[in-house]
Amino acid sequence: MSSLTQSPEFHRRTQQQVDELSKHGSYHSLELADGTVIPGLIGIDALKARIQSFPIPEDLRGKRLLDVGAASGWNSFEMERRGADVVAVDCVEFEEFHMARKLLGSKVDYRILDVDELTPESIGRFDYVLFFGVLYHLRHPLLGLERICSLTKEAAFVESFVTDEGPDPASPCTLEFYETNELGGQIDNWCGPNTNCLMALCRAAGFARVVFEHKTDRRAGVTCYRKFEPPPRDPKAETPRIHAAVNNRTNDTHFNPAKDEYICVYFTSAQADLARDQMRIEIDGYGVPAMLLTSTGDDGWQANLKLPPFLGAGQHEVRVRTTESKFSNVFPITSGPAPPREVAVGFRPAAEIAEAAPEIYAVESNVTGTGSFRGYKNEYLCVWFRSNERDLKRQEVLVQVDDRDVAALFLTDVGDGRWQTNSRLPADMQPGPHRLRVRTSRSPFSNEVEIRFEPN
Amino acid sequence: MKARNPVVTEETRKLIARLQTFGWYHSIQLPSGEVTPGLQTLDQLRLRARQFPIPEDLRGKRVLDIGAWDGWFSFEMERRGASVVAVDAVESEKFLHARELLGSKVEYHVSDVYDLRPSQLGVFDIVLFLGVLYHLKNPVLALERVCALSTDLVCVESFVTDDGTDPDAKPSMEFYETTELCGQFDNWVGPNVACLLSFCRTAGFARVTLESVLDNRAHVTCYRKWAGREGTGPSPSIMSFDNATSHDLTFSAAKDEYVSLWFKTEQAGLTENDVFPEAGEFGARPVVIHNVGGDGWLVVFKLPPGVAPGWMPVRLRVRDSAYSNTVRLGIDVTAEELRRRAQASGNDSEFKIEGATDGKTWEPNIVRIGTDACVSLWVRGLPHRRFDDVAIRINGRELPIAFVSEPDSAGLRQVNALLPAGLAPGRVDINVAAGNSVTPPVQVSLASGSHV
Repeated sequence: MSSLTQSPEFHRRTQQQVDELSKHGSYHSLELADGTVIPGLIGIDALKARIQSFPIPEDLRGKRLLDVGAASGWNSFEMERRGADVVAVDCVEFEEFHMARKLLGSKVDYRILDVDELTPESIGRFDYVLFFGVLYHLRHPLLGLERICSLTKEAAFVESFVTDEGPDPASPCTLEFYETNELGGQIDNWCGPNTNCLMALCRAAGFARVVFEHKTDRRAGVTCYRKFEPPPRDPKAETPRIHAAVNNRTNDTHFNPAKDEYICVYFTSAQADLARDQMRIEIDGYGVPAMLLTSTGDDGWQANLKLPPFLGAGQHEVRVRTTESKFSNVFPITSGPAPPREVAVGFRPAAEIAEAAPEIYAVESNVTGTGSFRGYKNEYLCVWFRSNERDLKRQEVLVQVDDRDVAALFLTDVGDGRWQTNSRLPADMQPGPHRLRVRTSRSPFSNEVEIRFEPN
Repeated sequence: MKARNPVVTEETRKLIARLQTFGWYHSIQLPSGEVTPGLQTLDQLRLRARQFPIPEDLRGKRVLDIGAWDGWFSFEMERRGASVVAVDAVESEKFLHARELLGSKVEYHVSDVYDLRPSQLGVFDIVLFLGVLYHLKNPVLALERVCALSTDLVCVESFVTDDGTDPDAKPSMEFYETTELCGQFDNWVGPNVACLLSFCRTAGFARVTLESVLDNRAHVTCYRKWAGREGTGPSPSIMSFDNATSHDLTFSAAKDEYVSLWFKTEQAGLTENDVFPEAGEFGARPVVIHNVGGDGWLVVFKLPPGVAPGWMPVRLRVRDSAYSNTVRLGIDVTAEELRRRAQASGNDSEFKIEGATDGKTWEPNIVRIGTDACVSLWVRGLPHRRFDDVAIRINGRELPIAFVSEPDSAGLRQVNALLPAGLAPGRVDINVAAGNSVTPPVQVSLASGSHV
């Protein structure tokens, strides 16, 4: 693997750099308004070259930008020069940052915080985040990237030490671990990913897509976008349809944002041979890469993906498209602290019927996308109905197939007085047509709809 | 190679299909002698347990089983007499069922490993951490949590990518973004054996021992205490210490903190394997040791996970030596506590500081802060006895003394202490403490910048 950490020459150079730094007193060189340059360990040209290797807009007016690991502050001041409202953070205070800030008349907000302390609550969210030269100093690199992702609205620009010469599709993702001072003789260097691993870590952290930008002198730069490219203008494939988006731990539609949660999205698509890398799944407009895509039979698909990190409490919208299609319907999910475990209460009719009957307007299998059911293991009976009632609860809704009760697994408010409930089919269904209806605890039964059980 | 291997993926798929027909992962032997068959046979489970030096008699011990699954290891530890807490990320109905059938008293919690805290579960003599690590995205963080919960011994079993026989293998792990390992998407990391051992040491264990590697599974025992005992060789002397990152005297239990400790010893040619620092009841493995000239040495070690807020005693020994003097690190001590200690003065009115200067320039009442900063105090009434329980206090925080002179004609002793480079400039209260006696404070200015 990397012989770098064993190389006496690399050690010597690192030590030389540290000596230079203590002599100069400044890490970044800094350029004042009058053109005066305060020399630092890293020259102005190298700093400019690094910034220019990323697609950072020249005009940043109206944008919030976070510079994590700001060091002497050259990048922060450059982003401010481009018009951004900049917050700079570092885990230790750099005196020259204060000095330069004063000399430049800068308004950059400078804070001393560990990566672990960065949350949307503590510093807000940002259009762009710079994450230069920090990752390999972290013992928990993926946790650090998840925190960066949760702060980012558009893109994070990540630069790190890497152990190889650029992304090599043939090499597995590896990460060297430095227990003591193996890397550069410094004890605060913890890990060295290869370029593939750096990119995989960024995707695993929750970014929609990760683009390799540059490789210079054992460092790689990647841009991590939170959004996918825009949908095709002229979609060639049929629009997919979501039938459920459930928590793979609990099988309901509620998520605990304090945990590493995974979503199973069940949808139908007429596209044959869909592949994982064709999926463009969004939560609240942020793209999330699919980790796994499985056919559930017929037109049915299941995609597994990570809930974006440190998502706030509330309702969130899941939608699906492929590289060839428009976006599907929106499926709402909720997140927040774990609700108290629901006591298993059966459906109980109210003393009097006070509400109008609901009206079923669609019934589908998530596998066929039609009213024809196959009896597959992961098949949902999805029922959509209209109701005048507000704030319906799952246990206030009853679904019946041929006058037999089936449990509502979850109930989703899809807006405008429309509701979706998902159930499983009764185990002993006979092939042929069956009657389905729904009621609430305060209403009479709805219209009856026919479904067909047609196992393969 | 197990990762990206279609044969292994297919075998795993078949195992999972079998698991679904069995329902049980662990086989469990019921009181009747009857065995509930699981995917893992009793022989396989016993073989796994035998890889670790777990005593047969566990009476009076607390054991934590993380990733308990159906509970065979929990019930086995209970059978040996331990009081057992079992934890899993998802609730296993099988566990609860087996517990009932066995009449077991094992306490069962559903929790992520990252959420486990001593404040909520207490601490444990033995922690089992079997078959969990490679399912985690932040393995070192999890091992730090586990370390903080343990007082003695932790048994770690994990998938590894090699057999550990290559002495030149550098610590490295594979990262599995999706389903590369066995087709499962909850497998995240595959360390090689060297990396697994590094992870365990980095988490804060004093000693880490590789027991075996069987079929791509490594068994590692992690100890929180040093193996040897105090020897009879001359004691090293701790001269000074600081926080290796901030270069001051503050330490927080919640952070990843490193301690720099300067000491003197007659022994030469020390390596990481010759120096045994202890913090509180725990051993702390050196990260760096180097000679700073003559008989002076610097050792850097991680503040062990799980230390409680308060004054933590730190000492060390080298090779066959007796223990050094003890210094006390303030962990998350409150401003009020520091003020109380700074203003404390003993009943002995003859014990006082009559002068304070910079240790190099002898400027009165001012000390230049930076590399090699030193304060000299002229002290009356310092009880004549072992000077290794004499300390100076700066705003209530303790430092050992580096030098004490014989009394001069006026009866004053010169007491020197080396100060950390990163103390904040400003006025500080300094006292000298000897056993239970403390001088009244004197005020000294810490000034930034070097000597002119």
